[in-house]
Amino acid sequence: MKDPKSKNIEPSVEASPAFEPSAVGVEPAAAGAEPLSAAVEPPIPGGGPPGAGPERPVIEINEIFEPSSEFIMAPKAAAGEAGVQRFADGGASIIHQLRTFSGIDIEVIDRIRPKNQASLAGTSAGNAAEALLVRMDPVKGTLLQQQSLDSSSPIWVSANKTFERLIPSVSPFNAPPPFNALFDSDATVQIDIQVMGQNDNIIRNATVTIYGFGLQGISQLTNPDGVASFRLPSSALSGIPAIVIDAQSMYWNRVIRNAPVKTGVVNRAKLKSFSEYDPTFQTRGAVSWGVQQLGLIRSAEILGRGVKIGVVDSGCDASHKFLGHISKGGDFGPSATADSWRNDEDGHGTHVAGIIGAQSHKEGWSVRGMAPGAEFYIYKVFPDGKFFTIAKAIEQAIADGVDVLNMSLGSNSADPFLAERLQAARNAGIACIVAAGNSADDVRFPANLDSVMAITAVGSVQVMPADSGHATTITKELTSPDGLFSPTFTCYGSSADFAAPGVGVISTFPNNGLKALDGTSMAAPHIAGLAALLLAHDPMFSNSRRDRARVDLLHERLRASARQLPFGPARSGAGLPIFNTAFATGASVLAGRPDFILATTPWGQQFLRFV
Amino acid sequence: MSDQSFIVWSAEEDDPNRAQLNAARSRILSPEGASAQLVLVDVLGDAATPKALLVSGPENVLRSFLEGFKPVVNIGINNNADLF
Repeated sequence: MKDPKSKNIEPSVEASPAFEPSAVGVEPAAAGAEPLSAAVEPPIPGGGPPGAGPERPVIEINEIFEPSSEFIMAPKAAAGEAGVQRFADGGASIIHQLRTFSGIDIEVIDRIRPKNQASLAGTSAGNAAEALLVRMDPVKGTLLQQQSLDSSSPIWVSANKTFERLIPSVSPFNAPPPFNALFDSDATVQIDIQVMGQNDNIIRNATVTIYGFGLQGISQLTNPDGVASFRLPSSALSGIPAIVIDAQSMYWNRVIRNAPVKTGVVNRAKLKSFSEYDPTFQTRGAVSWGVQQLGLIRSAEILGRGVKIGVVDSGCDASHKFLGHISKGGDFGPSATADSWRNDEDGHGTHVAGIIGAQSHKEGWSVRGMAPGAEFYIYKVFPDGKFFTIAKAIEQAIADGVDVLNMSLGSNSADPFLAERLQAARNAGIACIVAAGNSADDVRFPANLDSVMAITAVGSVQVMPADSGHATTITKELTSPDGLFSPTFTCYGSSADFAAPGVGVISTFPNNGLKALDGTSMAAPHIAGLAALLLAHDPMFSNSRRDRARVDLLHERLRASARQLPFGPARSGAGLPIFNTAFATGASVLAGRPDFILATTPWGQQFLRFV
Repeated sequence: MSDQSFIVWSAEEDDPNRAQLNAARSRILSPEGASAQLVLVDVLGDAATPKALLVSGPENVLRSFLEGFKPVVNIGINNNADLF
């Protein structure tokens, strides 16, 4: 279902960080805030956090900036070897080789030695080292790092002060040594990081990940006192390259670069709750920025009633207080039970379902999805994720008479069988909306098929804290004057049909949570919801038959409504579809409806507001 | 060669009523198929007119076993998708 006029335009600029996170200190407590979630504990009477100990000072950790040219070097395993590898001579030969033959002025700062080093004293293994911390020219070090990716290289090289991406899967290292083995030596220090939230509440079960002391991040969950403890090389005391903190629910994640931590103290980091960052969050009937971008703020009537939406994903926690109206689903995996579609161990499907269908409450605050009045069908295919399992879900969607099918998934492998089934779905009148992919290259399968609509992601710089992980996906070169940007991760290419909000999207998460996530997975359901609204409310679709022609007309209506974005068709397709524009004149909705007005967002976009 | 799972399928326009695919299904279910270590794990669609079969067994055995049904009946690896 691609526009034959579209061209395969590759982005002309390289992704690079645009905004350095700013230091964030202690924020005053928000007045009148409601309790956030079960993950947030009430303040501890009498002051200090439990377990921190009255004698232990507390310091706030915020980022500092200093240039660095430190690198970590570790030996690779030879064929047939397993476990932690060692430089038998303490790395002397490789250092000599680099100095003599490569002309690199290299200085060994520290050696990470095996745990039982003391018992090996006086033996040939007594000099063994599992990793070296070295200092050298940053350009040469970076070159060495790149060369170490080659299979012929005997060593891994990793920058000790570089933090580029938050997505672990981009790590070039396939088989890093276990960190406990690397750092459980005499040359380590204990670093305790405590995570605090709104009103100085401690946050437990937050994930704290430290980057920069090896070949991948090290993660710990915060304990009931909100503390995550790490053993790190003593060089950590000169600044941890990057700490990423992610609460389970209700908070923006945070990146702290070059964090000036100390040992023997409680290093305290604070997260911002959604309502601290945006005071209207819990008062506006919380319509996400993405829903606003697509031109819909609040409406009692524009709900998508009468339309069936299928969600092929990881299941859905339908016990969530904003998703209680979802009651139909099936699990197509190998260990399915009648109700196992309600178990969403990943949370992905619950988030996607909320973007489309989270339902406002009459009392109290709530979030609202694009088309909460639609009828939902949850098709659980993950964690299995096999093509045959997905095909069974598509077959069920055809049998259920679904109108719109959201698929926030994809693969590196194209498959003619799955392509044939998606063509069958289109012929049956199902509009298949598919995420383009997050690997910053060509649109993935099946989004690249003509029979589906491929959705790339856009972000808005205003909606997320500058020191959040979400903001690391911003590039200056791909940011428009009104603050929209094409994120670094989004896939692109001539297959892209539309762009939609996919960075810092707040939606439902299991256990009555709300979480901000990034991905084309979050973009696709915005378009799926918008498609449902058009099918339900656009007179063009009144009494239309569910067939392939209707799917093609829907695509055309979305295309006609789209606001072109300055990132080009490869990154954003026809652009960002806008709800009220999709109604052509809007008259069909506004005529005789005094409860609607045409309003304008702060960024100059018109939308229908319920009054 | 280790056992994997494979999708055996045919397109409707190439295989009216999925007659060829159904014949392939019968062959896999035959004692000959069982002795060749081929197992019919699942069926997409109803048993009489299946749209696809999920079969496990050695790939080379399956391909040679269904050689007579080419090119109408296709064999693909049951790959994994990822969440985006």
